[in-house]
Amino acid sequence: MAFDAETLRAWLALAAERLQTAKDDLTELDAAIGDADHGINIARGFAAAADKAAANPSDDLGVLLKQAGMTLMSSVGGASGMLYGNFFVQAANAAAGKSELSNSELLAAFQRGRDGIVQRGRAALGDKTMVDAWGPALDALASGLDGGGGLTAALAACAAAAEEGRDATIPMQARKGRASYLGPRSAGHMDPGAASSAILLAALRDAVCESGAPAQYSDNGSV
Amino acid sequence: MIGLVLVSHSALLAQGVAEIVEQMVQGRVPLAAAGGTDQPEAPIGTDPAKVLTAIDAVYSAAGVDGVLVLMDLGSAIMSAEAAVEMLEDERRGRVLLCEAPLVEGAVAAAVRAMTGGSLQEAADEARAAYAIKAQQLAALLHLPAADRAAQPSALTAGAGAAPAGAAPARLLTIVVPNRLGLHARPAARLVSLAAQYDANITLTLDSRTAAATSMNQVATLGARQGDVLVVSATGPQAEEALAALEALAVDNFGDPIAVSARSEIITETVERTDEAELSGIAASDGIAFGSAFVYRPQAAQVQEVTGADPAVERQRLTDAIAAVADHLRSVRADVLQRVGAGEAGIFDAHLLMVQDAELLRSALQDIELRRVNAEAGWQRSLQVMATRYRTLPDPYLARRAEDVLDVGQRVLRRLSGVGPDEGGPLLTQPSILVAHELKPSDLARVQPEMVLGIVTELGSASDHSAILARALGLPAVTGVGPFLGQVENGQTLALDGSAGCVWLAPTADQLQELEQKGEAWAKERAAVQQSAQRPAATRDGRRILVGANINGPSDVAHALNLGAEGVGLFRTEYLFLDRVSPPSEEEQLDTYRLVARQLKGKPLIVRTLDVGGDKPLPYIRSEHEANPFLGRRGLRYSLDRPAIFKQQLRAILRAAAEQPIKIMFPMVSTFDELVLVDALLDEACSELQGEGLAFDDDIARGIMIETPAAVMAADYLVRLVDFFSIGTNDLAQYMMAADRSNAAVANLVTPYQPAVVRAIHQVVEAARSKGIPVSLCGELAGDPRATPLLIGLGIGELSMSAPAIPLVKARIREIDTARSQTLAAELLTYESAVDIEARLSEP
Repeated sequence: MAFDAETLRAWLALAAERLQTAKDDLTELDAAIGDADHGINIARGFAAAADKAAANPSDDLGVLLKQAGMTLMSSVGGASGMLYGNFFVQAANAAAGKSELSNSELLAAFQRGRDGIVQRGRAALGDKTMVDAWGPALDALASGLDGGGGLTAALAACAAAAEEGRDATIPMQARKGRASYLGPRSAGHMDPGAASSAILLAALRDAVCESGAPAQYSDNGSV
Repeated sequence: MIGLVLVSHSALLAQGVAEIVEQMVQGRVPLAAAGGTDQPEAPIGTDPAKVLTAIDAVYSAAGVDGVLVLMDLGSAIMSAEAAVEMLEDERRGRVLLCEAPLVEGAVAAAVRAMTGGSLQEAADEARAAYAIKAQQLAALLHLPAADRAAQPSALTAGAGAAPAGAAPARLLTIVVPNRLGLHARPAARLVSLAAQYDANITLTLDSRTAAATSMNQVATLGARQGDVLVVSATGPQAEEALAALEALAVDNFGDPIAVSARSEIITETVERTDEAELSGIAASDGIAFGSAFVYRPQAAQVQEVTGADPAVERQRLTDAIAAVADHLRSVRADVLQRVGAGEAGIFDAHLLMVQDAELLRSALQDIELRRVNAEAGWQRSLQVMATRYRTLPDPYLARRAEDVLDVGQRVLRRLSGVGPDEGGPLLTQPSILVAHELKPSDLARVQPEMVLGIVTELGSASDHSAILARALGLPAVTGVGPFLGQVENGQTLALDGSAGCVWLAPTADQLQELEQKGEAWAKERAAVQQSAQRPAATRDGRRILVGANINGPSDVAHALNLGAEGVGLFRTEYLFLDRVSPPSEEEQLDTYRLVARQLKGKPLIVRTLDVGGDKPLPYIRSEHEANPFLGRRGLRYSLDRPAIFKQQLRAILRAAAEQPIKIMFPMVSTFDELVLVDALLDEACSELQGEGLAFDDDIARGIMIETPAAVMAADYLVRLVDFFSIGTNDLAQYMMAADRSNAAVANLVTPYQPAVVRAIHQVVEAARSKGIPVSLCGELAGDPRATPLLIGLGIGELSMSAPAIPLVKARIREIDTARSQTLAAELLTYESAVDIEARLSEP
């Protein structure tokens, strides 16, 4: 099973659907420590990205990933759009000209995308940002694939690690983004960016499962 | 020219800022706003596509060769970065994202752009806007409400007008006469004088107002020579206060400097002096004439390149920093040998700055994340750090911004391929070195035999370069003001460093006159140096022992050359600092012996380790102290670490077996501490005896008098010691309960305070009751003005930094003991430090 244009379209569509469902929860999280727009913005952005991907006949993953990234940057408006946008744009650079990605190519593209998030946001692990989800998630993906367990299992481990990372942000004090203005008062709340990242990676796991095997939703993506 | 792009989450805000800027520049600077998103349901946000469009739009305006982008927070930064990444390659290098605050930065940058400023200059201007605002608010926020209300009406109504409904304010207009403006010392004098009156006094410069009783506020007004200050006073003693301030201003705010510009309390500006004859600060005595060598250092030009390989750039930067650090260490060693430990310390600070972890971290972040070249990453990091320093309210710290830039430039020069040596003045024949400003590192490089004298546009009598010039014996005039445009390489110049005068085109007569004066001066100096070798006694024959303060064996030869008759203070902490484990007993023994042997039987006082929480030793775990100066310092520190302390005692006792050595303990405050010290000394002695090692079993032991407690307890502490040594620097700080690194109170910390003078008197009286000697080893010992007072008070030994010895010895020989006793008795009745200092400054 390889990651191709159809997998990407399925992922974006499923992510848009899950984020639409979770948008009020996400916005509530953001209301506690941010500017209360994360859920709405991110749901709109992924909906736009999914629509554009569905309408684009190309099977070049470089083209499709880049289009998704640019769409997120222009339609989300906030920092999370820039961060997710850069994930897809950077991943697109690694996938340029390919119509499908082997496991190791997918890992390389995603690692590049994760580096794009870190680069744009200047955040480190422990800063209470989406990096706290993406960092462990990509590590789990890498060791899952290295262990030879296959893509489905590796993506399951990846999504689980993202959820653990998401939960780990609760006690942290924010050091980046709007929440950092709250200082110690940001502790005790889950970071909305880490939460949407976990949804995104759970959607990826399920989208890949669906394309290769009967649907097995182990997580409905709620926060 | 360059244009501006303004990025904000809000279209209204971006547009609003653009309108404010437009008002200033009236269409003369290409400008575009990129605010908000195109999403009708979520208009607040940013969009890199909009930023890109705005940059391209500004770029396509006629004559634009660079774009400065200012932005608000969060995703605005990210959008701007993303937009720059999407730019065509040749444009990308000419777009600069600037961290300055959006509104202030945009206005400042646009004005600079309008006057032809480069991208970098506009960015610098934008960053400085923050500092200006910070200063302005620092000055205003602390003003009493009543004053704030009174101030504008007093100003707008003009001189003499009284604000309605308030007590009539008296006004005085001062044209600042001081070459360097109201810098720290004149500002301190003004503040301490203003505090003596029952009046609310404020100073206003342009639109900024400072309370005259706040050192920080007065210093950060930044009044320069020729600036018009409006002094306003209300309250019962307003009239007297203004009269006193007027007198102080006429007296050049107490700056004892030969300035030919007249001090005037008027509303006209200070006259410029004759163009061929300039006056400045008499920074270092001596006469010089000869051809000019004009030193114009080139700042390294930095071009930002993106897409560099981070691994390569990281390596280049760390290599350059290491090379500069190596170079600084060699300069430091050279200065240490040629000049002395105090001056070499300047380079310790530079070393710390260039190796600063934060500076490197922030540069590396740019290198890794923005993929810029090492030069650009380092430059930006330097500027951020310098801005951070500049905005500090403490003016002394704020000036460290220049040090950061100085030392940072060396790294940039290194990166650009020229060695760190490049850029310093390279004199090939004996000349007068002329420069806008000489950094300590510049001056440390020149060969003294190639420099006849020094003239600089900037500088003060107290800056590092002036101190170095004096230490090297080079005549110098600093702070002359802009004149480099009138000097060419090879042109004949003359200067009188004692009078602070410079002649750009000296006539034959002037040269002859100067030559004679120069010969007389050289003769006098030689005589002072020569007579320094002889012991010093007062006119009536009382011998005063003049010793040197040293930090290690390498200081001894220099001290002896300058006439030291011994060492009154050997600071042993330099043996313990900058290393990973404590020095062994044998190593200490070698060091103490090395010092003692060079002294060939002359007296040596070794002070035990004097460190504390402010300079912790890396190999000893120490608790964080909220207030290290009131913490475990000096003897307290040693008593808490008896193993290390006893090792030092053993080394000193053993060294004292061969040479006359006395031991001295710092920071004593109780009798019990001395009892503990005695017990440890006894223990060390019996150990040494048991081991069959030679030692002095009757070493003379003394204590530093540095705390008010030791002063008050001197009459019983005397029972346990063989001598006292007064450390006036710490004593003045502790007596006055004021930290001299805190500009707001630093003016309190002078040994001329009546309280300090009385403390010295009290200590001498206590010592006299047992007949033990009292020496003095603070800065006061090296101030020739204080010599008659100290002798009059009964101090028998002075120990000072070596360069001060010849002059103090010469001063001692002019003194009559009986008259100095009368003077001391008179000064003990004075109530003000200013009066005491003034009386002692009388010729």
